[in-house]
Amino acid sequence: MNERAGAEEKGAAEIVGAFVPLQRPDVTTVVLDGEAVALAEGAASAFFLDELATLVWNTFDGSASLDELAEDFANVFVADLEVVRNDILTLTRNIGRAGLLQGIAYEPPAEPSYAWPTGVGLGEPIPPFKLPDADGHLVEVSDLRGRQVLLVNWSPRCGFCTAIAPELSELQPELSARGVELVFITLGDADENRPLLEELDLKPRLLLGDGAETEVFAGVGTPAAYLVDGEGRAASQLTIGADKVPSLARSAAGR
Amino acid sequence: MDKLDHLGWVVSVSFAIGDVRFAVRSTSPAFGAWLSDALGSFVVDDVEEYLYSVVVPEPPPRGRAKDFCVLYKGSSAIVRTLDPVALGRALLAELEGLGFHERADALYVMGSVIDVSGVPTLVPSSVVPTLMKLGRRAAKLGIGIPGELAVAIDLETASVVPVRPSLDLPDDVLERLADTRPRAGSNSVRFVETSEVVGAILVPARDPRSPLQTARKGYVLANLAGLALNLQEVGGRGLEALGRFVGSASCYESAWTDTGDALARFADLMKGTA
Repeated sequence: MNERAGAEEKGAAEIVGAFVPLQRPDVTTVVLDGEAVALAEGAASAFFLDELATLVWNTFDGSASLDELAEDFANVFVADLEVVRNDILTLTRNIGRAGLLQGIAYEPPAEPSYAWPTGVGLGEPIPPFKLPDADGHLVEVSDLRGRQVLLVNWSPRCGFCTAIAPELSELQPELSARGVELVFITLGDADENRPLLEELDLKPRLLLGDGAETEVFAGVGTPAAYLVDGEGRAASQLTIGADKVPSLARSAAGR
Repeated sequence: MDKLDHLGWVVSVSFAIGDVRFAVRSTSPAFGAWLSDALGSFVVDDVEEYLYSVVVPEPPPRGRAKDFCVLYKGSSAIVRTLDPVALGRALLAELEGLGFHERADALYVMGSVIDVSGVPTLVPSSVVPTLMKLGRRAAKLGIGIPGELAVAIDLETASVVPVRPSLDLPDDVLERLADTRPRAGSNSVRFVETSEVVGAILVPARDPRSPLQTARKGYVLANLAGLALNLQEVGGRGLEALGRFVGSASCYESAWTDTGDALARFADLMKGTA
């Protein structure tokens, strides 16, 4: 039986193939060159849909379940049904998190701001998180204990992150030599993160935020960072911005 | 200690604007006096977070006429000019920006308008510190220096417009600053003075290995929307205005790993189109 979006909203992670997606009526969608950017009223950030995702988005009219849509797309593109089904499910969850679909609860991302959020104080425990790494293993903050960590809030789509990536790459050997592990909590999947990292030979441990905000960087944009001590406590102030994060990295590297 | 400590700060003034508390330090007692005077209604007791640092060299004969005034945000130079009034204006523009996320009179985007070979071009403001490092090379490339790290896009016309002042400041606030140090050169810092149509937009490429190339406008729209400070306040009207703004400009993307090189290649391209 298909699940039509009702008054009660689900978390995006609960959505399954029987879900019938329907765009919210208050969503503004702007399409340029075949790619869409959509924004729910009251949301702090817009959602980008590439050409294929835009095609899928345009079918979200409440008339077919995700499984039915996956079958249609698999037939049209002569693609493996399971692959298409997984892709559409992942896309739908991400679109749902952005507040664009009826029946899926909005999950607010970090708010952009000129202001400087303060974060936890020096010596205070870093807020807990549990995120998958690039291999799918769940990593908690407690798993990082025993060594210093430069924990960076990252996005491969962020120009500020891209701008500081070369310097972080340059500093990584010195960080490693001082026992400081570089860990990125990042948007996007491993594939999206890989091109820039490989080009720069930057090898952070990736923890995939999947677009959901983690408490440790709540209300903070990218890039931002903490130096975390071996006991999971803040060894630096919350550091925000393309000017300050490299400065923290240089300090951690002993420069 | 931070990397700017060696510059010899002699004065610090603390402020609270909205919910942001910060300090501005300077090498110039006269500039500090101007800060306290012009922004007196926002002055508070000591705050240790130096959000801005301002170098204003001594005027001749104690200093050299061609020493630059420099405005730092954090530890990054964002404006370098011979004109202290231009520097003060850039600082005031930054302070206006502290409230952009709460405003709904325009869409505010963390971008800067620069002239590249005569073409008004919007770039993410993250490139401005790199522009500063390029120094004279930027001028040789035909690239101007922006005085603002955020732009206002009018919701009706979808043009870049001057920011409407919201801070309660004296009418002659900048004239008062002119007394602190004689202007030692022409004002080469660019501000948005009137409603203007931007000819080009340059953003980081979605594939970081990509050469400089024409960009798909949907991607550019998404990139700029990600730099918007107040989409929550302006909603769909803001996104639609941004869409029209992007739709009317020539759009380019480039690998961003060497921003200076990307800007140089872009300047070469613009020479051919200007």
